[in-house]
Amino acid sequence: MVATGALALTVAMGAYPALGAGTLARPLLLAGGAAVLLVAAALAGVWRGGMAWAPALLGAEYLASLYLRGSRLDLAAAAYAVGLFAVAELGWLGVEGDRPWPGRALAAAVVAAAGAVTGYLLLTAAALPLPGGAPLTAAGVAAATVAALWLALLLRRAAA
Amino acid sequence: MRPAASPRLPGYVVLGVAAGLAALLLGRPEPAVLAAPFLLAVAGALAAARRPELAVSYRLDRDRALEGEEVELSVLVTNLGPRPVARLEVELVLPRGLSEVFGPRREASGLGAGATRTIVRRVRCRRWGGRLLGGVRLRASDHLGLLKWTREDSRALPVRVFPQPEALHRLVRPAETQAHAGNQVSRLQGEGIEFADIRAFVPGDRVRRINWRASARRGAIQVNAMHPERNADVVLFLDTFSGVQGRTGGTLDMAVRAAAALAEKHLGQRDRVGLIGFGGTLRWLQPGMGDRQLYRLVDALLDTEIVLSYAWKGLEVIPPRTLPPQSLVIALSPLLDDRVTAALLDLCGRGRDLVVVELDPAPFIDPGPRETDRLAFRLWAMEREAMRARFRALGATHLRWRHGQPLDPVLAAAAPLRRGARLAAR
Repeated sequence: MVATGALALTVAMGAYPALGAGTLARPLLLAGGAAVLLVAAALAGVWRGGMAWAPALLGAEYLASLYLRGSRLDLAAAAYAVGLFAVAELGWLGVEGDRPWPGRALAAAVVAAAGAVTGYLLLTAAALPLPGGAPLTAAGVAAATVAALWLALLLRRAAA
Repeated sequence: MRPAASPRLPGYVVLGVAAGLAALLLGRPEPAVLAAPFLLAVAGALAAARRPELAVSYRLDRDRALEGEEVELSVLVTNLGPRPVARLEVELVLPRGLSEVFGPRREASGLGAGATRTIVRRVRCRRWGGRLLGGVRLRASDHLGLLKWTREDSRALPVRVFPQPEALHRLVRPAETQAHAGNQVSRLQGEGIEFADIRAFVPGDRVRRINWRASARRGAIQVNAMHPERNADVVLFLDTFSGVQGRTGGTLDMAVRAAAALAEKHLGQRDRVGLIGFGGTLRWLQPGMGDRQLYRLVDALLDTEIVLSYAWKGLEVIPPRTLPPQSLVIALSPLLDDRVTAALLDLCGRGRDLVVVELDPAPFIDPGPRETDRLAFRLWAMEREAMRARFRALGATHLRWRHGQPLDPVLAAAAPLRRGARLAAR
């Protein structure tokens, strides 16, 4: 059931960027199809590592569709990010062979919701007519560096 | 506990970093939005990560069981840490010869801070021997399963699985008996219950022994001579040089089960029973009587195993007191090793009362598909037949016991053979 859900969601996520893409739908569908194949191969136990590449491929397909359509800001990106996370979680659950347990489903739902909120905040911030410049870029770089350092610190503590 | 990351963790980190770089390069926020749930999951898992502190203890309902019986093992896992464990998998690790009766091998659920979970499993003792029961594999993980901690606990409880003895109704009668009272009818004449002969009265004979009918017929006082009931010394000789193992058992299993049954039955008849494990490691137990000796014998049998050795060993390595004179030696052997065959033939040559129970290895051996294989198998079978004939010619009682066949009729067939064997020896 988990595997079927993961596969169905991958198909939907692979098809979504191609909708309304017109003549460019075919190359986008090729990328989506490759992601579906990777998920299927991982779930069948042929290549478990394929599960790590499938969300990346779906994300690339989505970004390519945005670029090709030339849209300025896609507000559906946050919802697509939640779908992508759901594909990864369901897929890995199927690959690891674990039975889903309520704690994990709840934690995944909380993370997905938090991801959606963060995504919308990011999109809202991007939509604001703020003046750019060196100070804002420096603040962004500093924030990214702090986030990376924080992650590294957490990783070190978890490994200890 | 040893920490380990799920393959998802590096995958999510790489995805997040790549999306962040894409956002910078493309100058668009969408890649960063796509990365948000993945980076949040990683950050949340790492921030909440705490090494679980778990204590494991075991309880066993009993530490001795017969083959085929079940014991109940309780594994108690206590969370000593201040935080609950989101998910804890407990997997039982069982040694060879033991198997779980029912229930999943792995059990997973959460464990609160300070809480104790008890996992009760029924374990079937499939094969005799001393076993260590109680190893578990513990796997704890966070809510999302991104970080895992594993630990293998090998503290274990000993379980002694006694062999299921063969059902025996009769035993091989020894040629000679000893001085102590027992259940074996001696070939000598003396005070006893079994009638032996009629002879003339001599001073000192008890009046109640007078056979009045015979005295009236012969015109002189005749008395009944009786066989006294005595005990015997029995030495169980186990071949541990070599053995053949099949799917459902092997010659060593047969030997141990037969030895356990013979020891129990002979000790029940007040005989003295000893044990010699003749193999790569020489082990022996001097003959003795009673329940204590039975426990000693069975304990010694549990530790019996085939030990590979190239050293030539003969009877001289066996302590003399282990093989008392006039004892009945019952050898349990597949007769595959020349050293055992030579030692047994040596015993025959020394006039010992020897019964060789051959644990027939043929059912465990596949003759092979090719004609040459089958020819080799037939040659091997002929060599074994010649060896059996040598034993018979030297006066030993040779019995052949096949896997799956009860031992009782095999031993029953010994009585006529032993009469013949004694005549041949004389």
